[in-house]
Amino acid sequence: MHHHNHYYGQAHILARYAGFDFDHPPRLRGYLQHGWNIGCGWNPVHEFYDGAWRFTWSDAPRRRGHALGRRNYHSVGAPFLYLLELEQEAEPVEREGTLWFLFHGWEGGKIQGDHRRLIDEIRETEPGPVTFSLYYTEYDRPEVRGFYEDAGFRVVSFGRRGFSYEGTDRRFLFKQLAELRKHKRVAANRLSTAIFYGVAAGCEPAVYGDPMEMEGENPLFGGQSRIERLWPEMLGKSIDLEAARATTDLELGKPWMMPAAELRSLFDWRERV
Amino acid sequence: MSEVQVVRGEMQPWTDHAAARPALAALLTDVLPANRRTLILGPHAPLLVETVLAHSADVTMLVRSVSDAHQLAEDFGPCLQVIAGALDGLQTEPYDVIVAADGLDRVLGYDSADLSWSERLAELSGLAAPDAVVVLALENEFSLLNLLDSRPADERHGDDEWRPLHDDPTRPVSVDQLKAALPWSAEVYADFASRAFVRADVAAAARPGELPTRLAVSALESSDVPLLSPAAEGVDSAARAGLLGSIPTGWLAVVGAGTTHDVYAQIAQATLTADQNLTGWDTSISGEPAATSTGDSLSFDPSVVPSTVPSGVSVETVLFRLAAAEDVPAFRKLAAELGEWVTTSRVVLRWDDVILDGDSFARGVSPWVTAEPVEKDDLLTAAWSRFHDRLIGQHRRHPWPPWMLGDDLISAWLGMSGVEPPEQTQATSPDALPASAEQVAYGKGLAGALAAVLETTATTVDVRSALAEAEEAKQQLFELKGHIYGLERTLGFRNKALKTRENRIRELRGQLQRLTADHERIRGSRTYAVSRVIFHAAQVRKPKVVARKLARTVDRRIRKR
Repeated sequence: MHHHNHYYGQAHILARYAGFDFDHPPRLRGYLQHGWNIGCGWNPVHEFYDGAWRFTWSDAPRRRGHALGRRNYHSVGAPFLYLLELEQEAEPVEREGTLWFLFHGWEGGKIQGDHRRLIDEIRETEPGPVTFSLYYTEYDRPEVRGFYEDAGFRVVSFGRRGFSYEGTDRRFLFKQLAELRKHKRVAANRLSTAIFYGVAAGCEPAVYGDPMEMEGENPLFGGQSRIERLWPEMLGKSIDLEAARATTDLELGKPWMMPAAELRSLFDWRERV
Repeated sequence: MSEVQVVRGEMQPWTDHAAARPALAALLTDVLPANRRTLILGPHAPLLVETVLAHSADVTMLVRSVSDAHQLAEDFGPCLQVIAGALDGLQTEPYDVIVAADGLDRVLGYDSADLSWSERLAELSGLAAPDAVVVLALENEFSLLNLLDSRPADERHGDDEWRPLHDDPTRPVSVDQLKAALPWSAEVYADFASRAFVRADVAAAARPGELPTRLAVSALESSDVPLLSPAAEGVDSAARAGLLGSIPTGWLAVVGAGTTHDVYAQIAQATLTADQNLTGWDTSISGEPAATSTGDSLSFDPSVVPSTVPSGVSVETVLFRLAAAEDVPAFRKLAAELGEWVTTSRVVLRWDDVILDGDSFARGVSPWVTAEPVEKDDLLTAAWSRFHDRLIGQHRRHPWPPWMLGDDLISAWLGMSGVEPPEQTQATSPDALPASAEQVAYGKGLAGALAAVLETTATTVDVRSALAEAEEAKQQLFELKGHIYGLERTLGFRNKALKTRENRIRELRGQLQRLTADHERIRGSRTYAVSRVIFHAAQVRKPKVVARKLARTVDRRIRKR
């Protein structure tokens, strides 16, 4: 229903999983969480229509939303997990190097930080070649992208999430998954969606470096310090993989995944005239 | 017809209704000694009179209604000596057995003195021999049904309240008070709507979802008292507090009896008895011929009730908790385990009578069966359908959206239990039923038949449910308005997307027009004509051959001239 549901092609992935057309997913009756966060699953000022249903990846955002007076939640598991099922690895390739994600801004806020220092730290830390992933908001800023290209990193971007159903790269997560599967490690300067995706795709995680600042960042949910208190097992240059996998399963909502028929009922996707 | 003796305090015209109470009859069967001089005090249904007569040939019955007395005399003849009149008008030798299973509220007439409950008890004890067996009932003013009764106090009682009986300060309102008020040492049973009698100490130890609590809920659900809120929730809360024995509709004090069972519960017209052992319950069913048909699709078959039932909580209790916690993964896991456990059977499956037994499950005491074995999938459908009705009907918390409720949700739960979902079919009209409707139809029918034989009251809706339903209607309206707003927002986003595309198409069209004009202009120019000649000339691969052909053509034209 809401155009955010199409971000990163998430609604498209779920539509395909449920047996519908990938390119034109049916209207989803509610709001689908489109990124991991430490709040209720959406940004603090996200609009919801009255009585809206909210489909979160896992139970924690539901609980936090409930405390904000919101109801009508159902956790479904992250669409990326459904993508992993749809796009199973035919022949595992030998993984090499690190796919490094820079904490990204969005259309309404750019990041500020010391990229030079971050590059030095990455060089000191990463044992193999580094592929640097920039969201298009940074990729399209030569002054940011140049830092990483000049450092000798391979720089990639997976496309745009789109807006108002326009410009969405429906294969955004497909491309991200393909890159993740080539790399041994996944790293970022903040605990973020990409780290969880990386762990789910079989990478060893690392979270280190200048977390950088974003313009207009809303500290309502507690920010970086809360992350450090809640998920210390996900932070550092060398992380216990088993613990990371357990946390990832929980945060991406693996136990909440459901079969296609149930998903169709839940999203009001039964075939209708 | 034997003659009816009339003593002081009789009532005419008057009649007291007395319901058949099979569970009480079974209890009396265990309690009453043989061949002792017996008094039945107050109105009792013929079934109970027969039970007493089966134990003794010397039975007197005192009822206040003259017409009731005549009817009893006509029905039972010389076997039963019937006296019409009030308790305080009866002057006789003490009895060895007194059965006052209707209590002491209907033993005085309008002409009788205004005797308090304790004074009536004193009158009764005056009629009892020193070692008498006494069965005495007492209505509980603190009963859950009383507390939840939606009627104001002045509308609760009928024509027999010419003097208020229920606010009598001498009247006991707890097990301890009752025991203290009696001049004898007594065993007390908690009486749930006359359908389940649970020994008071057993009731006090029962917790939500356990057998006594399940039987109490089932008994109270069949009551037709108009309520403020569903009884089940209150029963569970009382059980959690160890107070199940404090909130029954009444108590039954048994004085001087031999061995009795812990539980007597009515199932159809039969009685289930249960005794606690170290790991659960020893059960048996009596009072009903084997395999009795109810006239519906279900039959009563006592042989399917296991002789031992584990002491655990019902699966329904756990499923309710998981749904309220919105813990769908755990709910799914339990549903899957149940799906693996269920097999084809004649016994109609119900989660409120399946017990968690360690890592597995066990059937409870339900004796309702179909004529032929039912496939596993249909049994699961029946169980999930009943669970759906109870979850939604009791307005319990759960995480499923309103559009999913009904057949789709039952189908989803069946999927969790390992039943393949039906193939989706394209609806042919807006009102076309989903594929799940056909999938669950038979099982829903079984669940409906089960509800009918269990006599679950569906005619009276409690006030809270009625308010909740009204609130739900308002909420639905609110959410539908929100949904319309959401759809309008979607249209807005789509419209914006179309605008973007329209502008892009316009831009492309403008570019195309400009390119076409440029193209036309170029095509009309000399430069273009020369370029075409050059282009064609460039295509010539064998210039000598072309030159010879050209020369021949020129030559032919000259000759023609």
